[in-house]
Amino acid sequence: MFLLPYLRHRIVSRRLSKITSLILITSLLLGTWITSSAQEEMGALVPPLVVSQLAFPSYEEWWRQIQPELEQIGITLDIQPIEANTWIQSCSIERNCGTFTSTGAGVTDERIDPNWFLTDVLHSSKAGAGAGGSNLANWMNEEVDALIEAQSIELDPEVRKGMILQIQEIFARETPFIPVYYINDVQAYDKTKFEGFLQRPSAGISRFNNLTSFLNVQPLTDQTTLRIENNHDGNSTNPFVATGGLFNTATMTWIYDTLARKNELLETIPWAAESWEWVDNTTIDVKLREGMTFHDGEAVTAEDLVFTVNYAMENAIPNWAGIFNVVAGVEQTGDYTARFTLKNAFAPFESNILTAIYIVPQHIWSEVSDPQTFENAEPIGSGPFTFGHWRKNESWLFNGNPNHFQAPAINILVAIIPTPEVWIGMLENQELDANGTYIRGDSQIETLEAMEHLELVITPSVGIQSVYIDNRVLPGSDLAFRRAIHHLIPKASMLEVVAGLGGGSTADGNFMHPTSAFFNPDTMSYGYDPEAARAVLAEAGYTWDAEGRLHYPASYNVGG
Amino acid sequence: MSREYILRRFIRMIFTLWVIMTIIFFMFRLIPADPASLLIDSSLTAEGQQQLREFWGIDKPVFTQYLTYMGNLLKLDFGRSFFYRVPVMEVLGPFLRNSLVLMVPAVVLAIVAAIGIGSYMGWKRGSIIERWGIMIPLVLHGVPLYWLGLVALIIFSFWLRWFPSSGMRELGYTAETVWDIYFNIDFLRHLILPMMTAAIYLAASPIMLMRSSMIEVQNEEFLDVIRAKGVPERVVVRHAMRNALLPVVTYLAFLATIAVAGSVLLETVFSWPGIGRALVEAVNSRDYPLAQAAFFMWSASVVIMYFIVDILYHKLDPRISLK
Amino acid sequence: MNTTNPEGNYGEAGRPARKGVHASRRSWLVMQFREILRDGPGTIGLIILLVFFFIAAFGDSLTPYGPNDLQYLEDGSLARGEPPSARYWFGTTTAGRDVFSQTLSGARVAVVVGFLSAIVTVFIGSNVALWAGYSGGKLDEFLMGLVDITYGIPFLPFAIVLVSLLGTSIWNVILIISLLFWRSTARVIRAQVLSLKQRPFIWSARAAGAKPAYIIYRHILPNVLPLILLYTALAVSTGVLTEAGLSFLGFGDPRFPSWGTMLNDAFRAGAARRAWWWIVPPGACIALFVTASYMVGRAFEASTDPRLREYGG
Repeated sequence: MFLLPYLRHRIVSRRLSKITSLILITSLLLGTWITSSAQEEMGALVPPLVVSQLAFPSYEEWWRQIQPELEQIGITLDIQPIEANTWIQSCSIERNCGTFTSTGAGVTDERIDPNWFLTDVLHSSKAGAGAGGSNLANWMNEEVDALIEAQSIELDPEVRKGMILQIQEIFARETPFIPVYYINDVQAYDKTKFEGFLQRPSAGISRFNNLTSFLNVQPLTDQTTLRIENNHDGNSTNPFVATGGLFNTATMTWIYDTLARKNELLETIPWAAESWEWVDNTTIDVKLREGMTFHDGEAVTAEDLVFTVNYAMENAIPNWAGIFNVVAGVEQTGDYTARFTLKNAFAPFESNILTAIYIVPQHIWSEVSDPQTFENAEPIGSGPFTFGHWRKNESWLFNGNPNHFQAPAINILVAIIPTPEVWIGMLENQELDANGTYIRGDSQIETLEAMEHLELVITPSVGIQSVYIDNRVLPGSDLAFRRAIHHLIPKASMLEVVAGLGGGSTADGNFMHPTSAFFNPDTMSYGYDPEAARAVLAEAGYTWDAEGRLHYPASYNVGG
Repeated sequence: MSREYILRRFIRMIFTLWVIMTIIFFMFRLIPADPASLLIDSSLTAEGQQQLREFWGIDKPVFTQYLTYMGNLLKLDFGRSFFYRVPVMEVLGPFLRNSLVLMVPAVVLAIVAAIGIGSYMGWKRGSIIERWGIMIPLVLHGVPLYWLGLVALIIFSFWLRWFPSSGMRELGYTAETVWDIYFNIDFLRHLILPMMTAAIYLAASPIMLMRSSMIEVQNEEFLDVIRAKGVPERVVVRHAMRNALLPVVTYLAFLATIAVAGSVLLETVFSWPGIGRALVEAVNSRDYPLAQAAFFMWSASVVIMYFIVDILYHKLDPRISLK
Repeated sequence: MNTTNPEGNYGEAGRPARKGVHASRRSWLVMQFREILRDGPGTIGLIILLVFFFIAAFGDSLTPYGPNDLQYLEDGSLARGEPPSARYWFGTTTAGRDVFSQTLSGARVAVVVGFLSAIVTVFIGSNVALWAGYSGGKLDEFLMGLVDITYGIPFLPFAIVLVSLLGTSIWNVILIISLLFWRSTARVIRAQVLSLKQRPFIWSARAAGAKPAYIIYRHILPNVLPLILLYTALAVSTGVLTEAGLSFLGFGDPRFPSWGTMLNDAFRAGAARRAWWWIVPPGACIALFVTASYMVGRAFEASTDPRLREYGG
C-alpha cells in the first residue's frame, strides 16, 4: 500500500528519479559528515529505551502520557505491553524490564508496617535476577541496607522511626524510582439494606481484608445475607494452600481466627490471642482467649495453636515461609498459653507475624497426612464466619457464627463476576448489596452515584504506584538521568485521568504515605518541570543533536 | 464400505488428537512464567518454590514430563490442578456440564431456526423480504459476540429487568442434587438470555447456508416431478427442505467449533461458570493440568464431531463414492 | 464464517464458460468486478470497504484530534464522557479522549489486520488446497491431517497462550489468526480442485508433459480464483472479529487504537450504559466492516455459481 506510489514514481519519470537519487546521495554524505564531526563533542546517542508495560488499563494510560513528555526532551521509548503473568516472570522475577516499568504495591496486612516495603522493595538483597522480592529498580545502596537491617531488629519505636526517616531522605535524594500517586478506592453499598460499614485505608469499606467492617455491619431489613462481588475466584478452602489472591487468603481468616488482626485504623489488636508479653527480644508469651470453640463445638486450646505451628513447619507449608523466617519454634506453657521463640529480634512481629498465624483444629488436621493435597471441603475453624458453600467460578457463602466472641450480624455471599459492567448493573438492580473490588473511572462512579439506594464511599489508599527505573545500567544508573525523568512525569495528569472523580493524591520524592506515622516530610522534592529536567541533564553534560535527540555526556563509557 | 473407512477415519482422529495434545503440552512449557512463582506470594523461599515444583512434577526434564502426561492421558487421568489442588476432573466436571447445558440448546435452537428461516428465504428468493431480510443474519454475525451479549444484557436485564444479569441461578440458591440445579424455573430464567444470544449468533451462518442450499435444490428436476403429481406446494417445500439439509448437517461440526470459541466470551459476559471461562483462567494462571484437560475436552468434542459428520455424510450422500 | 458447503458443492457449476480464462486474464478480472457491481449488496459492500480503506490511509489528516490526545473543555477541565456535540461528534471517552478520532484511527488496524491476515490465511490455505488436491496420495493425507488438527484447536485459548508466549502485539494477533484460519479455505478449495482435476483440459495439459507446478498455477488456480476471492473476503471479516474478541479479553495491542480495544476500554470502564456513544461507533464499525466484506464475498460467490445469483442474473 505504501510502496505503490513509490514504484509508480520510478516507472513514470526516470529523470526525476535521477535527480532524487543525486539529492539523496548528497544528503547522505552530508549527513555522515555532520554526524561524524558532531560525534567528537557529543557522547553516544541515548538509544530508544524499553518500557515493560504491564498490560493494565491504568499503566497503558501512564505511558500514553509519559511518552510525549520524554519525546520532548529527545528520549524515544519502545513501549512493550506485556500480559500480567508473563510480566511477573520476565520483569519481576528475571528483572528483564528494560529501562522502565511501572507497578504498584498492593496493601495486604503484613505490608502495613514499613518493614515489608523496606526489605522487599529497597534492600539490595532483592536486587537482580532471581533475587525475589520487588526491588524492581535493582537499587543497591549500602547505607540504606544497613539502616533497613537495623530498623528491623530495633524494638525501640522512636529509634526505629529515626532510621526509617533517614532512609526516606536518602531515597528521595537518590530517586532510584519514581513514586507517582496513591489512588483512592471507591466502593458502594446498598444503604437501604445495610449500615455500619467502616472505612479502612487501602481496603475501603468492603474489601475482604477489612474484617472489622463486616463484623460491624447491621442489616436494616429481613435480608441478613450481604451479597458482594469479587472479580476472580479463590483456589481452595484449605488455609494452608489458599493463595487465590487477597479474597481467598483474607476470607480464610474469617473462618480460621488469627492470633491478632488489624482493625480499621490499621492498628494491631488482640484477636484469638487475648494478650502477649515480650519476655526478652526473642521470646514472647501468648495467652489465648478462653472459651473459644471451633465450629464443630470442640474447644480451642493452646494445644491447637502449637499443633498448627508445628504442623506447618513439618510440612514446610510454602505460605508460612515468611513466618518461619522469624519464628524458631513454639511450645505450650499452659491450657491457654504458649511461648514463641524467634530466630532474631523482629520489630514488626506483632504487626506481621501474630496477624498471620491462624489456628486449625488438631482433632481434624492430625489425621491429614498431606496438607498440600487435602481438599478440606468443609473447613472447620473458630472464626466469626462458618463455611457455607463454594461453587467454583460462581459463589462463596459465609454464615455468621453466633458462638463467636464477636459474632457478626450478617451472612456474606460472594459472587464471582468478571465483568465490571455486569456487577454495576447488579448493584443497580439490587442483585448485589456491595462491591468487594474497586470502582474505577468516572462513568462507573457517576452511574452509581445516580442510584438513590446506593451510598458511595471514597477511601484513601496507602499503596504507592511507581515508575521503576533499572538502576544497574545506563541510563538508569545515572542520578542526573533519574532526576530529569522524575521532573518529566506528569503525575497530576496521570492521576486525574486514571482516578477520575474518585481522586487520590500524588506522591513527591518519597515512597511513604503522608498519613503514616513514619512519614518524613522534609525530603527532596520533585515537581513536574520539563525545564528543570532539561537543566539537570545539561548540567550533567548531556547534549542534544540537530534533531533534538538526547546524547550522553561525552565522558560516559557506553560500551556495554 | 465402510467398516474399513470408519476404522481409518477413527485412527486418523486419534492421531489428530495426539498431535493437538502434544502441541498444547509443549506450548505451555514454552510460555515464560513458572506456575510456582505465580501462585505463591513473593515471600516464598527458593526451597519452598522448589518443593512446589517437585510436588507438581514440573522439576523433571520436559520430555519425562511429556511421557508421564501422555501415559496419564491414555488413562484419562489429567492429574491435579495446580490452582485448585484437587484432581482436575473434579473441577472440570461441573464446568463442562454447565457449558453443555448452555451451548447444546443454543446450537439446537440455532439449527432449527436456521432450517426454518433459511429454507423460507431460499424458497422466496428475490422477494423484498428475502432481499433485505438476508441482511439481518449477516449483520448479526458481523457484530462481535461479546458486544451482542453486553447490549442484550443492558437492554433486557438492566433496563427492562426481564432477566437476571449473571450466573446460572439466584445467588445463594442451594441445590441438593444435579437435578435441582438445572430443572427449575430460576435456572431457566438465567439461561434464556445467554442461550438466545448464542443461538442468534450461531444461527447466522447456517441460515445463509440453508438458503443457498435451498436455492440449489429448487432447480433440481425431482421437484418438478413431484409437482407434476399435483401435491400441494407445502409438500414440495418439505421435499426440497429434506434434500437441502445435507450441507447443514455437515455444517454442524463447524458450528461446534464456533460454539466452543464463542463460549469463552459468552461465559465471561454472562458470568457463567463454564469450561470456556475456566480454560482461559487456567491458561492465565498457568494451571497446566486444568488447561490441558479443558483443551483436550474441547478438541476431542470438535474432532469427534467431525468424525461423526464425516461418517454421516458418507452414509447420507449417495453421490460420494468410497474408495 | 463459511457460507458455502465445507465440502464444496460447486461440482459442475458453469465451468465451461471459463475455459478460455488464461487467454485474457485481465478482462476476466474486469468481468469479476462487473459481477460484483451487478450485485446490489456487493456494490454497497465494496463502497463501504473502499471508504474504510480511504479512512485507513488518510485517517491521520481526517481526525480532528489525535486518538490519544486528552481533550480539555474551555474551563480547563478534562472533557470526560462528554456526549456527542459539534466539537466532539461522537462524544468523548471517560478518560477524556475523542471517540470520533479513535473510531477513524481504528479503521487502520481493522484494514491492516483484516487484509494482512486474510492474505496470509488465503495464501496458505489455497496453496495447501492446490497441492493437496492436485497431488493426492501421501501429501494430500498429510496436509489434510494438518487441517484436521487446526480445526481441533480451540482458537481463543490457543491465542491467549500464544500471546503470553510472544507478547501482546498486533503482528502476533495476525500471526495467530494466520496459523489457524487457513483451514476453511484449504478444505473448500481442495474439494473444488479435486473435481477440477478430472477435467479434460487438465488431462491434456498433463499429457503434454506440463509439470505439476505449471498445471496447478496456470490451469487450476485461475479456475478456483473466484472461490479464493470469496474466502479472502470471508477471512477479512474473521480477522477483524478475532482481533476484536482478543482485545475484549485484554489481549489486544494497546499501542494501536482498534475498535476492539475501544470496546474493551469502554466495558472495562463500565461505561456501556452511560456513555453509549462510546460503544456504539466501534461496534457499528466492526459490524459494518464485517458485513461489507461478507457482501463482497457473497457477490463473488454468486459469480462463482450462477444458481446462487438471486436477482435474476
